Amino acid sequence: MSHASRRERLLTGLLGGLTAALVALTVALVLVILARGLPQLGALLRQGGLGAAALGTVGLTLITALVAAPFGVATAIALSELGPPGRLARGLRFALGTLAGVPGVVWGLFGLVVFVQGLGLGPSLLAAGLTLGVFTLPSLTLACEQALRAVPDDEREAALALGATRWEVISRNVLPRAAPGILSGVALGLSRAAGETAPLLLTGAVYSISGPVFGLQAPFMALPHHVYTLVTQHPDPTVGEPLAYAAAALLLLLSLLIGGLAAGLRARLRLGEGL
Amino acid sequence: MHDVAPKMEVQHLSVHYGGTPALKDVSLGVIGGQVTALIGPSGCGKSTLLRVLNRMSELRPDARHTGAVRLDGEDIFAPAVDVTALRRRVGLVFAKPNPFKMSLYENVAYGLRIAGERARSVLDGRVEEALRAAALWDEVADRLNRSALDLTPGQQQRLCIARALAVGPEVLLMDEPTSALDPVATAKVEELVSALRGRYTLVIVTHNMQQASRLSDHTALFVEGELVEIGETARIFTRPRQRRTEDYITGRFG
Repeated sequence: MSHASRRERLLTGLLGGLTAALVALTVALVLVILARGLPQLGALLRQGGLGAAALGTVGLTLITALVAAPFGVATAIALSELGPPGRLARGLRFALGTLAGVPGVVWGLFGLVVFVQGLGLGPSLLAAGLTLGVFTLPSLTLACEQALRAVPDDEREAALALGATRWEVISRNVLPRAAPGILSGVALGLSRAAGETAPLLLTGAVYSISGPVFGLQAPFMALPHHVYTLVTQHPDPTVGEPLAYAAAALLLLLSLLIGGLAAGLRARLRLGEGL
Repeated sequence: MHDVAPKMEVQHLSVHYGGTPALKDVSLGVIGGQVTALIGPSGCGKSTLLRVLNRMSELRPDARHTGAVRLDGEDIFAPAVDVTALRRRVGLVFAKPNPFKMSLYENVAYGLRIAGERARSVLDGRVEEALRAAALWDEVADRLNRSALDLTPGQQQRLCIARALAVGPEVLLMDEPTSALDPVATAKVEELVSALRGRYTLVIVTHNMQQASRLSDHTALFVEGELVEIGETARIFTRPRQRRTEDYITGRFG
């Protein structure tokens, strides 16, 4: 066997092994969480505040989507499609890359100063949702810009040569082709936001609420924060731990739901092309 | 060739890309209803000239030009000119077939839709007409809703020509339209060019000299951004006036 082909087999084996390890890790994570969390889920939803926590996380994710998706997609379009690739675009991209790496707890402080105190929203679902929104914005914008830039320039040139305006190129050519990638970017961003704890710590997440379980201007419960609190603060670990696993399982299901919705939309887009 | 008013006229055109000259003081006329071939070695400026003719050159932010380009006597760079309207009158077919990732039908209907045409019956008629003009109708009539990307490269290029014809251009620019095609597909596109002659004013960039001599009425040779010689194709290939033309067509450089 030649030297080159042996090396190729070695590399193929290495990549295959790494892929298998990644798959195994994912399966293990899902199995562990679901095996420990699901059996108690039905019973615990009615007690232990899991329902309120799930409701809070759904509310936070919706606010995040309303803040991050429109601004993120619009900024990505501006970056990728409008104007020549100049210093401003490079600067903005660098800023977004830096912001995307800022840890959640720093965004929590930002939210505390700007939304909770500055805008006077107080510790509330709205303040926390806005905080998660700006936390998600940079990475979501960059993901959407990647999807837009993946559309070949051939497509833009062909449309312009037919007399299309810049906006027609964006709306008829670029966005339809980039839509699957944009959906994936938005779904990933929202899933990550739904699982964040740190930005909520200072903006209104609580371990339990009395009275109405859902209000924009009231403190709220959220699944990731609940998991953290159950594991670290619950006086009786034999009660707290099963609850934490059940909350984690719910969070996982929510992530799967967001991913599933995005996959469904992508499939519908493909059907819509009639191809 | 100067007894007819040219369809397009280039006057003292110079183009620079960020300080690098691409065309130097080029003046020539493009006769209406005929085929003009632009030939010359790579980087000679022939594609640059083609893209100036419908202002696609503006897509490069570092492109600067001096001089004038006229379509039916009117300056295409005049402030009042709507560039999208200009590009509907002066279409462009690219070297690499670049159909949209849409159905065959939507590819051809694209230019009509952005021009505001909504009536299905009108669209159907114009799509069929354009596909027939591009000699593609018989091959695809039963699968207009299939993806354009499923076609062979040769069919894709004829689809791109149909797409350009559908908006009713007066001038059709072709940038090495067969350079990505096999000999059979090339022959079909060449046949098509001959069939379009007369109805459209055609400007073809090619580095295939046989193609230029087969297809064109007029040939212009460019070397290093300069127009060396322009004239009737038969004369250029048999009795070139310039030494550089003779050297190029006999293969001594290029």
